[in-house]
Amino acid sequence: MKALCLVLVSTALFAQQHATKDDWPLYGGTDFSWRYSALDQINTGNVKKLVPAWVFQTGDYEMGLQATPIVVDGIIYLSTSHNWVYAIEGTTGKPLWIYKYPNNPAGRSGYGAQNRGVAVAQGLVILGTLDNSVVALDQKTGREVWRVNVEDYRQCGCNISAAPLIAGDKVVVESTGDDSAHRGYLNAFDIKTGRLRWRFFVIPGPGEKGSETWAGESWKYGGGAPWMTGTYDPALNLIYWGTGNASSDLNGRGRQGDNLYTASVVAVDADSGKVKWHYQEIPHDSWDYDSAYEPMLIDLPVSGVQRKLIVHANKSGFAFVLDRTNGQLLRAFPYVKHITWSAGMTEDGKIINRNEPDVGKTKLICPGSGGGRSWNHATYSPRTGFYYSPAVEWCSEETAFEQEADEGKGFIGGMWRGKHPPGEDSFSHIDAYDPVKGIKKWTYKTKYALLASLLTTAGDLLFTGDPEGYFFALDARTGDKLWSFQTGSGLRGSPVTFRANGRQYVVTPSGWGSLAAGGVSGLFPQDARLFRGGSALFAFALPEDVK
Amino acid sequence: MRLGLLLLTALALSAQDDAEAARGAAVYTRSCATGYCHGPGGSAGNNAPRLAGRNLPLAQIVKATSDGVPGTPMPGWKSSLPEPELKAVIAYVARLSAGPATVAVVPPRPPRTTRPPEVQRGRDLFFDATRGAQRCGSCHQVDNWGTQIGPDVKGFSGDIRGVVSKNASTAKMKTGEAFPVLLVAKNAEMVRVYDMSSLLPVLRSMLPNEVDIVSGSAWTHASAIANYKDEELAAILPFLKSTK
Repeated sequence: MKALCLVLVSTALFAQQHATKDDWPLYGGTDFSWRYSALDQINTGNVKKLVPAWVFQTGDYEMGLQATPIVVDGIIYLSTSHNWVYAIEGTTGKPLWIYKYPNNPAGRSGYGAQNRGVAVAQGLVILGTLDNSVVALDQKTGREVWRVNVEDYRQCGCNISAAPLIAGDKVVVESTGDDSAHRGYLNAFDIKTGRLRWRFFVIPGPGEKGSETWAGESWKYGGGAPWMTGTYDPALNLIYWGTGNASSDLNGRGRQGDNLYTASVVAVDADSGKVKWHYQEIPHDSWDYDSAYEPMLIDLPVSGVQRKLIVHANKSGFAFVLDRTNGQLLRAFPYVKHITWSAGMTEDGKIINRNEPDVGKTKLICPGSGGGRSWNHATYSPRTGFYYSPAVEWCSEETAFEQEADEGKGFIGGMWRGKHPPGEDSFSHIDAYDPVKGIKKWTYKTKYALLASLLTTAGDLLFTGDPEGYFFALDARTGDKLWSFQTGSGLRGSPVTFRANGRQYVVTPSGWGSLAAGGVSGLFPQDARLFRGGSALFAFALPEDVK
Repeated sequence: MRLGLLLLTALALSAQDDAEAARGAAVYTRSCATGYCHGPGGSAGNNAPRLAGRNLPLAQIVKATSDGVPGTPMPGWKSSLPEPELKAVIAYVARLSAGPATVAVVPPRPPRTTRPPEVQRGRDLFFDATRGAQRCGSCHQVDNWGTQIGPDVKGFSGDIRGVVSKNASTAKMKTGEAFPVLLVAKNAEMVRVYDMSSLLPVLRSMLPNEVDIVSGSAWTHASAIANYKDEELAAILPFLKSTK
């Protein structure tokens, strides 16, 4: 009995190992990117009493507020669309310093002004910029310490919108540009000095393994830019990153072959920048089905054997479960209802009957160019054992056309228009899954696309928000709505939680904007007239007498 | 008929209704300047041309906005935008079009020109992305491309490998580390240098008590361009000459 208790206790402790505690130190919370906190002061029993503690207006409103706030020792580090960075006192919302990156007003590629967060390590706050630079600031003062331009944004047609990833003594930064004539890359810099340590090209060059999957010169501008933040596994010293779509997006005729390593999850050695393994989710992608979303790490038994897994959602509406030691596919399962780009996928990941966009013909393709979900992140709770992901039912009318690559310019090879799915209006849902079996446990349905990340806590709560401005909490075990608050603008960022002076705070960005947000307006033009822009951070806590 | 009505409305609005144009600006930002099509403020975007300062006939703006432009990705908006929004965005675009081209916040890219083959080859080598960071464009800007760190090389002729940098210095950190730098600024609060120890150059800002800058350095241009063969450097010269 004692032994059993010990086993249970140690399992519970192990389960909390990848949970955040007082701080929210990394983009995904901890190394495993669960976006799950061990804090339980706020829980299913008292969440109805949650009230705002403070509101922080950023003053930078274009494209809303899409960041994940980072919290270290009770200080919040927040980036805004135009590469401003704030340090904010977590208990009061009082700004401690601001840094404004001197972006040239002309200095951006065509992807719009958006920024999804900073990384904090070794006394520095690190940020990617609209002009494709990386900047490190002194964590205490906001003073600039180093800055490096990765490549002229006009030549790559790219920028940096995602939060950098810390991997040991390096910081790894993505490129946002997979709809441009560009060869996507990751760049690793020395945290202290900013010196370039390695560059990993998503597309192998001539003579390298995988280059045989590209026809002619198509590899030079074949896309694949890995435009979100990856995950670092210190135990294996591997960086897992989801890569972008192949380009031109909707017309793959000029790039016959599988087009490695686009639309793939790659494991890259953190020291050398070389590929250790890869799993390509969409060979020869012709639908703009990036794999760029978060690779979440979970250790669970599969058929009685403990495995190190990655759970990963692709834009195509399929999620993939991989063994992260070798890239072996364990399962693929659909997470949306409307899928017309193929007749489905076998459990071992083979696409059945591809339905590609045609030149000169218009086809209704589901999910549309916005994907079965957007980048806003999933969460995993070790208490419930559920993997929770947002999903959107929407489609596009797609027409391919012939386009010649012109370095750094848009290279979509077609056009798309957002459409409702066949037979019903677009809608959205949050689903709880058994991540190993891919079995749905509950679903929570909404009218408009859910474009904010999910957060779970040891209080058995799931927090997220909607385009109408409601930030809300669901019961993580049942999906029942327990609480909501109107923040005044739609939610497109990532909520986090932390504890300071004994009080748990739940913090969410509020601020509607982004390309995918424009997709909602296209489908519901009348309703969307009431969706307001904004850019604020809301902090919630229990009243002092409740905690 | 509807076209005529829209035309009249747009004319009236563009002349006098600031609020309508402001509403149009919001529609434009949400629906047109998405990053995939036009750029902000009527500038050129990834897939669509500049609108500011074009002096487009109003009828053309109304027609293109309402019905789209066949053969291009420009969709017709009359089916997806409510009529007040359609009118507002037309009024706004009409204003941009009649206004100065300089509102464009994204510089128009150089038009695609047919360069003589030897100039094109030189340009390709200068900006050769397949070399990663090890290329001329990592430090020099020419033709509005590349990162401007090193000197202006427009019209350069001579021995590229043998270029002697008079500007390179050495940063001696109080920690004992030393590395070659290009001094950018030095005052009582800050020393700002480009760290030239590897490509890419890093703009580093230090406190004056952290570092001494001493003249001279072991840095050579030859080491920075070791990736290029002699034949390739010779081939770059016609390009630089053409940019005079």
